[in-house]
This record gives sequence, structure tokens and C-alpha cells, in this order.
Amino acid sequence: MDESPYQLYADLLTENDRPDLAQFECGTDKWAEASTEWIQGSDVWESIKKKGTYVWLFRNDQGVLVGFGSLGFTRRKWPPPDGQHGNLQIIPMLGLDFHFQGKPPDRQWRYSHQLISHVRYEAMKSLAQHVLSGRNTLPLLMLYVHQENAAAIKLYQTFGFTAEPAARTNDHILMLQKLDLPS
Amino acid sequence: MLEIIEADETSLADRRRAVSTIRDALQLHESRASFSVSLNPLEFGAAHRNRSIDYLANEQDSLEARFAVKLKELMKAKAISQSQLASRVGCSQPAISQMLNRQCRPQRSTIMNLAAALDVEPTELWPNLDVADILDTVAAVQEDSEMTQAEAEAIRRALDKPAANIPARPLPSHKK
Repeated sequence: MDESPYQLYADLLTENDRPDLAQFECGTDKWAEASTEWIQGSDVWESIKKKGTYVWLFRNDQGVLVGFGSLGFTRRKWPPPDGQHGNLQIIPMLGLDFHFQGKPPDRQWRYSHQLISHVRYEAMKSLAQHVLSGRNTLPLLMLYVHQENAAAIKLYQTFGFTAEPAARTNDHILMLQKLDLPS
Repeated sequence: MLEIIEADETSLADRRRAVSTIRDALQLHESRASFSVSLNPLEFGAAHRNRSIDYLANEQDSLEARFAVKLKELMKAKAISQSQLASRVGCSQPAISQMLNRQCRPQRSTIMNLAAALDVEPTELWPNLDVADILDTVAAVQEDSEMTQAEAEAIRRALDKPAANIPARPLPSHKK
């Protein structure tokens, strides 16, 4: 892929990033506010500490914070109800600062696309590591999205996620996709 | 924009957006500024010159931070100790301490119980309860739990499909 001024850079979240998060703002919809609150409040640190979630901050070439992504695990018995506990990869939360939403016009470099592409790659890499180490991990990537967040549902579908409206938790529906190992 | 911020009927969400717009116009977003000096002194000065901008400077705090401040204020005003509040709410004193110190976010049910114990509206503690609901859901789906029938069927369908043939690309590090 050619170089572009819209190239994003990904680094794992650290305590040193806290000051940059203070002015991060995903928007005014309730799910956008929740996304802002998740990364600014204690939820993100709880998820890292208790569930081993990976959280990346995405910056542009000037170092400005554009968005964040996360990847973690949850455990379920598979096959239910009496199967062994297996790992399922889950994206707990994603967020893009509202200044950068829908940008840039060139879809190849659309910030939201770069962000999801990176998290999908990391999920594939993580799956490969689990397969090599013999861990019981289903080759899936899942997330829950607010049922009214049509833009996000459409975006996730673009990246191969299928919406499963019957599988819901409160106002959120399950979206998931089968993963390949990274090429 | 200042009228929007100061209007009583303006929602918290709209207020935050107006705040951010003004901050951008005034180049108070330090992370987006191209200056080599810190903008904090400028922001501090501006905040003291204009009550609304003073509001802006505080408005960027998370809901969790504002909840902690409000809870502390209410406990002080009503002369309730952490232990007394914990007893009224049915949680532990350390849990109250953690919330006051922003080490954990209150769940919606806890916000409701705290509001009842302090005899205030829940939204006085946490202005947007929808946001609390969403955060509770995000935390819940990551917990290890029994799979629902619908979840199991969705997973079976996904496993029966081929993997999506959509390239995934890792991004470089900014630190290198």
C-alpha cells in the first residue's frame, strides 16, 4: 500500500497516555458517549487488568489521537451446555474521535477502516498463537453493538461481521465472523 | 455556542459538542495544536476571564470523574460517612471509597441505590443513565458466562461459514 498522510499508527495504551485521553470525544449519541466514557474512565483499566484486554490508541503522523480499539477474551462452554470452556475473542469497545469520523474521503485510508483492519489482524495473530499453544479457542471474532447504531452495524458488515439480532444482551446485538489465520 | 452551553434546556451531549467546537475555534485542544508551547496557561487565563469557558475547562471531565465529585459533595452536605452510605446502599465501605477515588465505575443499579440513599434524583449523580446502561452491557458481555441458545446458534452458523475474505492490515507503531 502506498504511503499516505492519512496513515494511522497503533500503540498499546499505557498510563502515560491518560492526558491525551482527556480531550478525546467520540460524539453525542449515547453509544458514542459510552465509548468516550469507557476509554476515559476506569472501565478500560478494569478490562485490561481483569480480562487481559489489549487496547490500542491510534494516532496520525502528528501524534494526534484519532481513535482507540480493543481486543479481549471471554470464556464460554462449547458446545453448550456441557462442553469444555473455550475462549472467544471479543472487541469490547472501539471509538473514533468525532473530528475524524467519515474521514478522509479516500475510503482506502478511512480512519475507521484502518482501525478495524488493525484489530482484525491482531485477532488473527492472537488466534494463531492460541492454535500453536494448543489452547481451546474458537476461530471467531465477536462484538456487541447497540441495535440503534446503524452506522456501526453497516461498518462492521463491510468488514465481514454478520449481525445476529436474535442473540442480544439488553439493547445490544451480537455480530461475529469466522477468522482465518493471518497471511 | 456560549448561548447553547448556558441554556438550561441544552442536553449534556449537545453541551459537550458545543464545548469542543469552541475549544477548537480557540485552539484550546492542546493535542490538536501545532504550537511548541503548552496551551494550558492560555486555557487557564481564558477560563478566568469568562465563566462559560471556565465551564468548558471542567466540562471535559469524564462522567465518572464528575460522579465522584458530586457524590463527595452530597455526602459532605448530608454529613454521611462512607460506612453509613455503604450500609444504606448495601455495599462495602471499600466499594464506596473506590468510587470516590475513581477506581471503579458505579453500575446503574448502584447509581439508583445511591440516589435513593442520598434522596436525590439519579441523574444528579450520573446525568446520562443510558450511558451507564451501555457500559454495564459492555462489561457484562466480556464476563465468562453461560451461552444463551441464540448465542450458540449464531456461533454454529458462523463456524459453518468460510472466513471472510477481507484483508486485515497491522498498523505501524508511532513510537518507532
